[in-house]
Amino acid sequence: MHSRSTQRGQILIIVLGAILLGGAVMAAGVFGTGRSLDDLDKAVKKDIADDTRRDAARKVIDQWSTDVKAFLKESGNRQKTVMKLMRRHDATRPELEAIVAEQELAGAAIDQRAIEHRFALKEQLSREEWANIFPARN
Amino acid sequence: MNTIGDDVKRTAVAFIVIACSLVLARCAKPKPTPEELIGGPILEMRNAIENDISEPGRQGQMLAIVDELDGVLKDHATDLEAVSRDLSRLNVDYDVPREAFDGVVSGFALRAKARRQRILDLHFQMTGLTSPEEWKPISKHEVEALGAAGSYLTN
Repeated sequence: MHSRSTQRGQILIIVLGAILLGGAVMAAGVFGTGRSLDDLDKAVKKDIADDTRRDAARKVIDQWSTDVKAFLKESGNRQKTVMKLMRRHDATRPELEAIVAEQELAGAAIDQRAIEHRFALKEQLSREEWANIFPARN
Repeated sequence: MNTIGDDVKRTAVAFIVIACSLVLARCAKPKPTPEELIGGPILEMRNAIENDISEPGRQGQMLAIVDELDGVLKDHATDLEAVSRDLSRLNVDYDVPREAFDGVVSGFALRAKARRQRILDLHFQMTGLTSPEEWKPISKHEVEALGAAGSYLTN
């Protein structure tokens, strides 16, 4: 598991380039909850009493974190390239479009992975546990 | 001598500082609007154009492009906020089908793709209207404006 501050920092960095770099779920954090995966892990640890389901749920979150970390690493590199190209007066549109298209694919893939992880997590939680961890917002 | 690489590093650091400031500021006061976040760098772009491009025709064309860029970025920030709300609402529903998430995400992806293409159109219109020297200060603030639009949900 990554530290909260590290993960928070990673999310901060990637959303800075979200307009050009894609990834809707990624850009919205953990499904628009405003919480990090580490917060989610802490809630699961606290709210799920059953050892087997709790371990399985934490495993899902851990894989989710691993996927996010890999995405952020690659996206960070692409973001730097995009910034350099935009600063360069002689950069060409195909140069920029190639990297933006690459990131759109990566953004779509991480969105799908996040949705898969959300449903895998739900499989391990009861309705009541889910409501405790993801309370309705006004 | 400053290289673009140095500028990019400085800009990246500036983004992180701005984002962290926003995080801290948000603890104490209401969430800034997209207009507030994007407005600063857009104003800097306008200032750079007015300072560095003296020909009225080209200056007017550039300012009109920046106005359009401003609108696209604000649309993006507003859309991102709406998508975040939609995802949050879906997520709390234990019985929501996967297709509901797919619909929100794919809809946003399509709209964002169209906005990215428009941003690239505007970007290359601007490079076509400027010399390399004129472009340098303008591009610094363009990159900052793009960062501000993407940072709206950073909290």
